[in-house]
Amino acid sequence: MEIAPSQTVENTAQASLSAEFGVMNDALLEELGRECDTEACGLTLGELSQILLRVGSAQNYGLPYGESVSRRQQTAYFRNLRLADLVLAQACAQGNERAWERFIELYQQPLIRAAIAITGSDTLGRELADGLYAELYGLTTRDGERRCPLDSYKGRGSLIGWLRTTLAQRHVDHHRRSHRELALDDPLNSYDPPATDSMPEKLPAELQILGRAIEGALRRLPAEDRFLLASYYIDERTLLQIAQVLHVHEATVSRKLRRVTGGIRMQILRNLRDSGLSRRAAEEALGADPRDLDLNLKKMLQKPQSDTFQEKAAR
Amino acid sequence: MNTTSQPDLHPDAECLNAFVEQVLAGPERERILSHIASCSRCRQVVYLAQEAASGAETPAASPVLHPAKQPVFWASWRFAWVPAVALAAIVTLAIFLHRPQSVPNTEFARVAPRAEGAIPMPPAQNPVGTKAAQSPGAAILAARYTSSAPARTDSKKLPPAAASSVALPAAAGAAEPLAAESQAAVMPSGASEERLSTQEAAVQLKSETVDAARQSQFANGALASNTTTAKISPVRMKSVAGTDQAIHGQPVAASASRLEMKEVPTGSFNRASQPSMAGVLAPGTSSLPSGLGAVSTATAQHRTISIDLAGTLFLSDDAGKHWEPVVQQWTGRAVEVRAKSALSSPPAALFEIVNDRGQVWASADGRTWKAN
Repeated sequence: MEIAPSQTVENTAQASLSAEFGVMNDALLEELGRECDTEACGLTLGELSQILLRVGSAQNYGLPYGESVSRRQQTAYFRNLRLADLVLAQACAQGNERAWERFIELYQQPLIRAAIAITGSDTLGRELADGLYAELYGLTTRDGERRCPLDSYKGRGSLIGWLRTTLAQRHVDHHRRSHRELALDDPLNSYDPPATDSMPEKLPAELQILGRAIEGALRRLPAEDRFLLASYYIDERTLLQIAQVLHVHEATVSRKLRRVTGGIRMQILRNLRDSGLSRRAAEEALGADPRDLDLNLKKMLQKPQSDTFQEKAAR
Repeated sequence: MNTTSQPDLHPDAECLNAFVEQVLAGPERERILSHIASCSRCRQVVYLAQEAASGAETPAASPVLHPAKQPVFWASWRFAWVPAVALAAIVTLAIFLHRPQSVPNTEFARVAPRAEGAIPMPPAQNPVGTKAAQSPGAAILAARYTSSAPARTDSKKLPPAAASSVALPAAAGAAEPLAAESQAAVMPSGASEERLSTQEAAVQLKSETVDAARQSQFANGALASNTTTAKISPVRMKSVAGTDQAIHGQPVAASASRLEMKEVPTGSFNRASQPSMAGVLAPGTSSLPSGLGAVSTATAQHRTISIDLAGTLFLSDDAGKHWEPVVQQWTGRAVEVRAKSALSSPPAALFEIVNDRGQVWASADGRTWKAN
C-alpha cells in the first residue's frame, strides 16, 4: 500500500485559522502536544493547534452554536476527547506520511480482525477491510477533492471503535443492498404468486379496539423499552448481546423485559377500558387469538417517535 | 425510503460508536437510543460493532487523556475486600459476643475472699490440700486466685491448701443461701454425665452435660423434686467463720447447717447426693478432713458418708463431727453417694457409690464396698 503524499501546513494557513477560530494557549498546546505524542505522528505544534481549533470550532467546543467559549471550556473540551486518536486520524486525513505509518502499525491487524468478526468470513472480512482502507486512504474523490472518512472522526469514542462501527455500517449497507438481488435464471424467480385479495375482511369491532389499544400501548413506550422489545423479539438477540450494548447485566435486561411486557399488558387493558369495554370484556379481548389480528407489530414497534435525524438531514 | 442512499438519515459512525462506548451524555444518548429502537439497520450496526469489540482485542491505542467521568473508588473491585473483611470481622465479633451461654464444659473453682485476719492454715494439717497445692493444677489455680482477687489483703499468705479449697462464702457474715454460694464451685451430680479432671487439678470440673432442671433447683437452694425421698430446707450458713475454721483445720460445728430430713418409705435409694440435700455437709463446704468441698453426701442409720472434690470417701458416725477416710475399693473416681431408705426391707445395702463411669458399688456399713 502506498503512502499518501504528505501535506505540510503553512504558517499562513495557521494564522488564518487562528484568526478565524481563536488562539490556543501556548502552555495548553504544549501540554496537549506532549500527551498525545505529536512527534510520533510527525506533527508540529502549529499543525496540532490547527487541527484542534478546526475540530473544536466545528462543534463549538461542545456548546450550543452561537455561544461564546471561554478558555476553560476550551480546555475542558479537549481534555474530554480521545486527543491522541483524534490527532492521528486528522493527520492521516491530511496525508501525513508518518501518521499513516503509525496508523498501519496500530490498526491494520485489529481492523482485519474486526472485519472478519463482523462478516463471519475470512475472505469477506479481508475484502471489507481492504475496501475501507482504500476509502480511508483517500482514493475516493468528490468534486475533485480527495475525501477521507477519517476526517469525520471527532474523537468522542476510540478510533478503533469508530473503525469497527464504520466497518459494520458498510457491511450492513452492503448486505441490505445485495440480499434482494436474485439471479435471473433462478427458477424460484419464475414463480408468480397469486394476487392478494384487494378487499380484506373487515375485523370485528372488538378486535379493532384491541388493535388500537395495542398500538397505543406500544406508542407510549420509552425509547429504551422499545429498543429492548425490538432487540429481543424482532432481532432475536440474546440477553447477553443486549446487556453488552446497554452495559448492564443480563439479569437486568431480563427483569426489564419482564417489567416492560407486564406494563404493556396493563396499558392495553387500560386502553381497552378507556374504549368502553368492561374489565371482564377487556380481559376476554386480551385472550383473542393473535392470528385474528391484522397488526404489524414490527412496524408498530419500529415506528420512529422523533424526527431527530430526519430533521438533521433536512438541515 | 432507501436508507443506504440517504445516509444522513442515520446517526454517523461517530455517534453510534460513542453510544456503544457509553460516552454520550444523557439527552444525546436518548436520541440515539430512540433512533436505534426504530431503525433495524442502526441496531444491526450497533450489535455488529459491539460483537466485534467483544471478540477482538483492543490495540494499543492511546487512551483518553482525561476522561470526563472519573470512576469512583468503590467502582473498582480491587477495594472490595476492605469492606468485606470489615464486615466479616464485625459479624464474627457479634456472633462471639452474643453467642448463647451454653453450659460450660470447664468450670474453675471460685475462691471467695476470706475474712480479714483469717489465720492461714498450716500445710501440714491438710495432706490433701498439700498434695493438691503441689500439683500443676493447684499452682494454676493459685495464680488465678491471686490475680482474680486483687482486693484481698492477705492473698500472699494464702497457703496451698487454701488455694485448693473451693466455694467459700463470699464474705464474712454473708448469710446467703449456700446453694447459691457454691454454685460456681460444685459440680452437678449427674453421675454418669459428669467427669472430674485429674486429681491434681482438683478444682477443675468438667461436665459434658448438665441437667438444667436440677441446676435451677440447685440455684434456688431447695430441691422440690417428687422423685427424691428427702426434703431439705434451704441450708444457710450461719457464719462464714465456721468455714474459715474448716479451712484452717478447725473442727466444724455441725450446727452451722440446719437439716430437716424427712424420709419417705419408697424403698429406693434417695438422692441425698443432691448438693443442697447434703444436710451435714453442704456441697462446697470444707468440713471434711481433706479440706475440700463435699461433692455428694448421704446419710442412713445415723451414718453419713461424703465424697470430697478429690473423690475421697469419708465416713462419719456422729453426724459429721468426726470423719474417717474409707479405703478405696472401687475403680475410678467416686462422684456420687446414695443412701437407701431405712424403712426399706431388708436393707441389703445402706449406701451406694457411683463412679465417674456410672458403675455402682454397694455397702452395708459404709466401709466395705462391693461392686453391684
